Amino acid sequence: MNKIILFGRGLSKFYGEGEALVSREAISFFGGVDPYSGKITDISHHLRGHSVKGKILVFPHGKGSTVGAYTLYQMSKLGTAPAGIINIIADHVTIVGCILSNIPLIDDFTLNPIDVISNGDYVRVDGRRGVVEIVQRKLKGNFS
Amino acid sequence: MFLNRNQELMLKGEFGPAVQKAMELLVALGDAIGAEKLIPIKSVHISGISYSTIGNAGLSFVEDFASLGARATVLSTINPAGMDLIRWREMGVKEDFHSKQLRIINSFKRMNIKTTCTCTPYLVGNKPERGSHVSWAESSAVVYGNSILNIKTNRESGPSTIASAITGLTPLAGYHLDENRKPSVYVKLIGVKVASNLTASILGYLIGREMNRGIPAIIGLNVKNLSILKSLSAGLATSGGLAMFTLIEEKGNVQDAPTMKIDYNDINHLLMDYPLIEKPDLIFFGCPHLSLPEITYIVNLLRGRRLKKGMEMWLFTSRHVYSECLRRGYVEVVYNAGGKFICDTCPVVMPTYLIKGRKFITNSSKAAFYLSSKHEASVSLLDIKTCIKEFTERKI
Repeated sequence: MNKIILFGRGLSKFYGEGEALVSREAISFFGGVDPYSGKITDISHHLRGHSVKGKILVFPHGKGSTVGAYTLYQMSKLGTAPAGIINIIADHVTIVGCILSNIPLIDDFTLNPIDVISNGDYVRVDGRRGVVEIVQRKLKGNFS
Repeated sequence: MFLNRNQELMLKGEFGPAVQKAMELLVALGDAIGAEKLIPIKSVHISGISYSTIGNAGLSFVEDFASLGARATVLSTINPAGMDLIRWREMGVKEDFHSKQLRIINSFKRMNIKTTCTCTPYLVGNKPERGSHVSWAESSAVVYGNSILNIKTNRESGPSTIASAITGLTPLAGYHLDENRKPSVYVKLIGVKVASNLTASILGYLIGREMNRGIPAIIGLNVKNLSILKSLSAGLATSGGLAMFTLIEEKGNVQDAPTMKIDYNDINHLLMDYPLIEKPDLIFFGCPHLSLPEITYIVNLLRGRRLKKGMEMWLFTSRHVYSECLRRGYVEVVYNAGGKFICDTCPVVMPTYLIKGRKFITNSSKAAFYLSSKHEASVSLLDIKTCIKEFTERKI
C-alpha cells in the first residue's frame, strides 16, 4: 500500500512508532490507566483491559484528573507508556505528560485521525514535524 | 512565545537551576498551546500529592525540584495526600507508604508551598479576587474557580502548577482569554430538580460525558448553595475535559450554539450504573472535601442516632475545616454515632490496599468513578439524607 500521511501540530517534539490503538472516547490517565501494567481500567471505557504499552494511542483528548501528567511520566519510567499519542485536540494534562516523558504528541489535523487510523495499523509519529505516517494497514486492502 | 528580558534570564539559568527547569516546562507548554506570552498569576493550586497517585517517578520529580532550591513565589496550596498526616497508623497505612508520602509533603514544605492537603483550596484561604489569573490543577477546583469564583485558570497539570508556583507565571492561552470563556452549548433541564449534592454531581457527570469539551450554559438552574455547586463542578470535571460552566436564566436570543437536553430519566440511568449493593460496609462523604455547611447538615441528621451494625462512616475534609468542627463539637457527634473524620486525604488517592474490595456508599459521581476504576471497589450512589436514614438507627 501507499503510505498515508497526516499533517498536524507537533506538541511534544519526539519520535515514536508502533501499532495503533484507537479510542473513540476520552481518556483519564490517572485512575483510567494502570501505570504498572499499561492497561486501561476505566469502567466506562470501551477499551477497558487493553494495554497502551508501546502503542500509538489515538484518542480525542484527555478527561478527568489533572494528575494524569504524572501517570504518563510514571509509565515512561516503568516502561509501560505509549510510544506516541495522537489527539483531535490535546489538553494541558496530556501535553505536559508527553513533554516530561519524551512521548511524541500531535493534534489538530485536517482529517479526524480517529476515522483514518484503525486498530493495529503501523504508525509513525514525528512530533518535531507534526507528521503522522500510516505505513501499514492491519488488513490488506481495508481502507475503510 | 515572547519572553521579556527577566524571563529570558530565568530561562538561561540566571536565577538558579530550579527556576530554569520550571521555565523550560512552561515555555514548552506555552509554545505547544500557541501562547503569545507568559503572564503573572495570583495563586497556584497543585495536584498530584499522594504517593499512591504519582509513585516513585512523581516522588523524584517533586524531590528534585526541592533539592534544586525551588521556592514558591506566589500563594500555593496542595491537593490531598494519600493519608491522614496525623492518624495514618490508625487508618492502616503501612510504614513504607508513610515515609514516601512524608518525603513528598516535606519537599513541598521546603519549597514554601502551603501543605493544605485539600481539593477545596477556596475553603482554606486560597481564594483570589474575581478576575485574577491563577494556575490551578485539581479538576474540580478548576471548574469551581472558573465558574463560581470567576478566576481564570486552565486545567493545569500537577507538574505545570509546580512550575507556576516557582516562577509565578503561566502561559497566556485558553481560559485566560475572555474570548474563550463564552458558552458553547446550552443545557436545558427537563423535570430535573437539583436539591442534593448527589443530583448535582450526576448532572455534572452527564453534561461532562456528553460534551467532553467546551463550556455548558445550564438554563434555569437556580442554585445558590455553594456546596451543591462544588458537587456539580466535580461531576463536570470527571467525565469530560471541561474547565468551566455558567448558569443562565434563559437562553434569550442566542441561536448559534446547540442545545442539549437532560431529563430525569438520564439522571436515573446513571444512578442505575451504581445500584444499591448488597451489604454495603462503608459510607463515605467528602468528595470534594466537605465544607462546614455540609458537615453541619450531616451532624444534625446524626444527632441521637448511631450507625447500624457492620457499617462504618468516613467523613473527609481539610484540616482547616476539621479544626472548626472540633471547636463546634461536631467531631464528638460523629464519633458518638460511630463515624469518624479523616483529614488531609480522600479514598480516591489513598493506597489501594485500604480501598479494594470495600463496599462503598457515597453521594459523589467523581468518587464512584475513581473508586471503581482505580481501586476496584464496589460503589452505590445515595444522597446524604437517605443514606443516614437507611443505615443509622435511633439510640436507645
